[in-house]
This record gives sequence, C-alpha cells and structure tokens, in this order.
Amino acid sequence: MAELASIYAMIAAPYALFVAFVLYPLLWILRYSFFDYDGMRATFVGFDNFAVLLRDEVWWKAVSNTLILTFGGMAIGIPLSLLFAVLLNRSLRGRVFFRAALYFPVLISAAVVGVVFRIMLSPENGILNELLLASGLADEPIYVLESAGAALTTLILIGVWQGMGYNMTLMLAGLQRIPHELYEAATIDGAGERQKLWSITIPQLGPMLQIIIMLGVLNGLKEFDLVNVLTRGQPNHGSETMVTYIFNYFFEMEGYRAQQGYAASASVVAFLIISLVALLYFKLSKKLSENE
Amino acid sequence: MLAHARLNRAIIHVLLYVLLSATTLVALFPVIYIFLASFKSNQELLAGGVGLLPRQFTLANYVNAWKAANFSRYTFNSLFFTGTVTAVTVLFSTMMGYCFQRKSFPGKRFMLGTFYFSMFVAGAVTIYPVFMLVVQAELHRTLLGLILATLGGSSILTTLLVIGYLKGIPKELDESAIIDGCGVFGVYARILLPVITPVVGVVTLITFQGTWNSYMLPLALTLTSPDNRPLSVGVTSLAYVSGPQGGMQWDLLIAGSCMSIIPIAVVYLWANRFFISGITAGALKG
Repeated sequence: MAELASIYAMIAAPYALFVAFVLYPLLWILRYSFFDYDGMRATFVGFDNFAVLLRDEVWWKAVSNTLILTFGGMAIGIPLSLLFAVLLNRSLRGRVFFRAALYFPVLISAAVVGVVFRIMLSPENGILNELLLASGLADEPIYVLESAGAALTTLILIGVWQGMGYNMTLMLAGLQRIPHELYEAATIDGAGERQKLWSITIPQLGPMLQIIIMLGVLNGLKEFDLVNVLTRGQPNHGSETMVTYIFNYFFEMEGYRAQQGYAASASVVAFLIISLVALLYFKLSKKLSENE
Repeated sequence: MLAHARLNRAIIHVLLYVLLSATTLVALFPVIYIFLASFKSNQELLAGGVGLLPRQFTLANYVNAWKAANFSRYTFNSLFFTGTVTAVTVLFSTMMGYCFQRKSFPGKRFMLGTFYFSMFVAGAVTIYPVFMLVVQAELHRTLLGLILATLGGSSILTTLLVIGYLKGIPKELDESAIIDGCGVFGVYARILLPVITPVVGVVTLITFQGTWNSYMLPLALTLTSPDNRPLSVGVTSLAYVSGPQGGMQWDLLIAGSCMSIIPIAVVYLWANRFFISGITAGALKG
C-alpha cells in the first residue's frame, strides 16, 4: 500500500500535465470538430465542417503541398544521406570533422533557419542575388519565393540542407551494425565494391531506412516552423501546409476569420493521417528491435 | 598496370575530398555567412556586396539588439524556459521510467498506451486547446504557462528512452537496496539515478535542443504577451516587421539569429559525441 502511494506520488504530477496538455486537447479537437465555433459561441452542426472541408480547395492544396514537401524532400535527401554515410563510414582522414560539420545544420531552430534564408534570399541585397549579379549569372535581382513552384522547391532544398546530417547520422549507426564478416565473405567470393553496396549494404540497412522514411514522413506532415517564417504559406496559399492552415484559422492570423470549429475538424483529419503513418512506424520499429 | 591502378586510386581519393569539402562548405555557408555578417555595420549590411568579412568589425548590432530591441529579455526567457523544462523533464522522465519499468500498478498499461498513442501527433494539431487551457488558468501572461504546457509533451519520448535503458540494469541492484531498507523513492534516488547517468545525459541534450529551438508552442502562447517570447520567436517575429526607416531590420535579424544559434553550437562543440549517440537512441527507441 505504502509502495503504491509512493509510486503514484512520483508519477502524478508528470502524468497530470500530460493529460492536461496532450490528451485533453486531443479530445477537445474531436469534440469541437462537430461544432460551429468562433471562440465565442458554439453550435452543434454534426458533420457540416467536414463536408465544407471536403470541398475546401485551399485545404486540399495545403494537403498536397504538405505531401510534395515531405516526399520531395525525402526523394532528394535520402539518397544524398546514404551517399555521405557510405563515404564517411570508410577509414578516411578527417572523417570525424566531416561528420560533425554535416550534422551542424540539424542543431539550428527551423524557425531561425527561416530567418537566415530570408536574409540570404532577399531581393534587396541578399547574398544570393549579390553573388548571382557579381558573377553575371543574373542581370537583375531575382525573388525566389515569387511563384508557388519556386517557393515549394526552395522549402524542399532548405529542408534537405537542414535534415541531411540527421539522416546521415542514423544511417552511419545502421552501417556500423552490419557484421564485417559479410563483406569479408563477399570479398573472398570476388564481389566488387558496387556489388557489395547493392547486395549487402542496402539490404542490411533496410530496417534503418524504414525508420528514417517513417520519421521523415511524420515530421514532414507536421511541417510548420520553416514555412511559417520563410513564406507564410504564400504566394496565394501556394506553399501552405496542413498545420500552417490550421494554425491560421485557430489564431485568426492575417486574412483569416477565426473559426475554431472548422480548424478542429481539419485537425482531426490531419490527426488521422499522421496516426496512420505513426502506426506503421511502430510496427516497423518493433520489428527492428526484435531482429537485434 | 599497377602504377595505373594506383593513379586511378589517387584520382578517386582527390575527387572524394573535393566532394566532401564542397558539401561541407554548403552545409556551413549560411552559418558562417550570418556569423560574419553579424559584425558588419548596418550601412554595410544595407549596401550588400559579396564580401563575407566585415570591412569594419563592430559589435553595434548586438548592442542594439540587446538594448534597443527586446533581446536581453528574449535571451533571459530562452535560458529560463529551456533550463527549467530540461531540468524538470529529466526529473519527470527518470521517475516515470523507473516506475513504469520496475513497478507494476493499476493504470500502468493504460498510461504507457496513451504515451505511444500521442507521441507523434501531440503539438501540431492541438495547439489551440493548449492555448485555451493556459488562458483559462490565467497563465498566458507568464512564462510558467509556457513551461507547463511544454512539460506536458516533453517527457513522452524521454520516458521511453529511460525505460529502454533501465531494462539493461539488473534488478538485483534494487533488491539488495530494498533489503537494506530503501523505499520506492530511495531506490530511485540513491541507487538507480547514479547508475543511469548516460541516459540522463541523452535526455538532457535532446530536451535542451528541442526546447531551445521550439517555435510553434512559444509562438502561440506569446501572441498576446511579446515580452515572454524566447529568442526563436523574438527574432522571427521581426522578419515581417519593418523598421523605423522601413525595410527589413537586417541588423537585428542577423544579430538575433546568431544569439539563438551560438549557445547550441557551443554545447554541440563541447559534447558532440553525446549528440550523435543521443539522436540515434531517440530515433530507435521512438
């Protein structure tokens, strides 16, 4: 009895905070997704919000942008991370330095990264434009965030720049788990470097790659910080993501009318999408830890 | 033939270093650029140009940000917010990890289940009800509200990390302590806490980095009280505000960005081995 009392005494405060700021808010959005609620008055409207959401072009644009950012970033970032992980897994002079340097962008707040790139990409004397003009590659300053396509591309590239070190580090950890005997046996059998990469390294990295892809998707679906600072979802919602869209409705940002009920139903949809991926992730990571 | 092969190898070696150096330059360029630019005078910043090094080295931007803009306040907020959240998260996640891994009690399965369930969704879509709770508790004009709201979600992953680490610590250690008369809390505080310092280090770093760099929650909770903004929110909120003379306030934006980057960079240089093992553990145990 005394033991139970001390156990609950130890976990009561942390778990209470978790209930208040994580579990209760999840139930809150579930409830208000069925209400017309503008922060003042709430009326029950059944599935109306979802029906409107279904026909809301900006929302679906936000969903498709989110998917483009997530998968576009992974399509470029993962092969690059694999390349550098393999290169830096060899015995190479200076590899500790290279590993540490490539990891560095991971450390910075994504929001501050947004500020830094806003400064660098600025059409008024930003360093990118100065370099382009000085080298003769451009005749007049360009504004790279002007069109939706260019804004999305820029966001993808910055995401790759910031995230590559993280994925590379995870892949290095995966590479170091591959038994040396496999490579030795392959060498005896006369396999070349390329054969070893395709038939040993990549299959053996499989579970780690799955983890990396899942984490990439989960974080990508929640993309907010960088977008909110660098493009604000502009031009004309062209780089809006699910979470920036929800945030703007919740907090009545410029150009939005507060509609918390509507935002809650969008949150529920986003929640379902994210949970689905998370479920897959748990299945995979469980398999990975069982294999060890 | 042999000489030919050796030459080939040498060329590949050189190309490899060129590739690695070029990539490293790309990875570090924005940071180097912003760091060097922070010592340029405001006129030089506005004039542009391709020079990286300041023509005249000055600390005016930092002084300006610190005194005229609110950056001394933001820095204090960041330190207080991150420090408190990190310390309490270490305490919370080691206590919960210990109870979950070593003890059985009614509700344990449910609690662990809710942790797994909410780990990846928390935050992004629930920001508004979190904000409302803080407002209703009348904590929206204080740092305490931000700290409590952050703590609600900060000990989920870290608790799972502690559970994973404790699995590798033999139970005999606790049992002999219990025979010696240690209670539940005594075993935690006197026996296990000193043994699990490696995972405490990982939890500290993950939480410190995540909290220092956090943006969405501090942004939402300080919309009505700019004085409580941490650095990440303080500097970004300037990105869309024109200065007194119009145009972007380059000097403040650049100095402010550096003030946010430098502390975490210093911690990284000092403890980068822990960072690497920490993020690996975090990804796998998640």
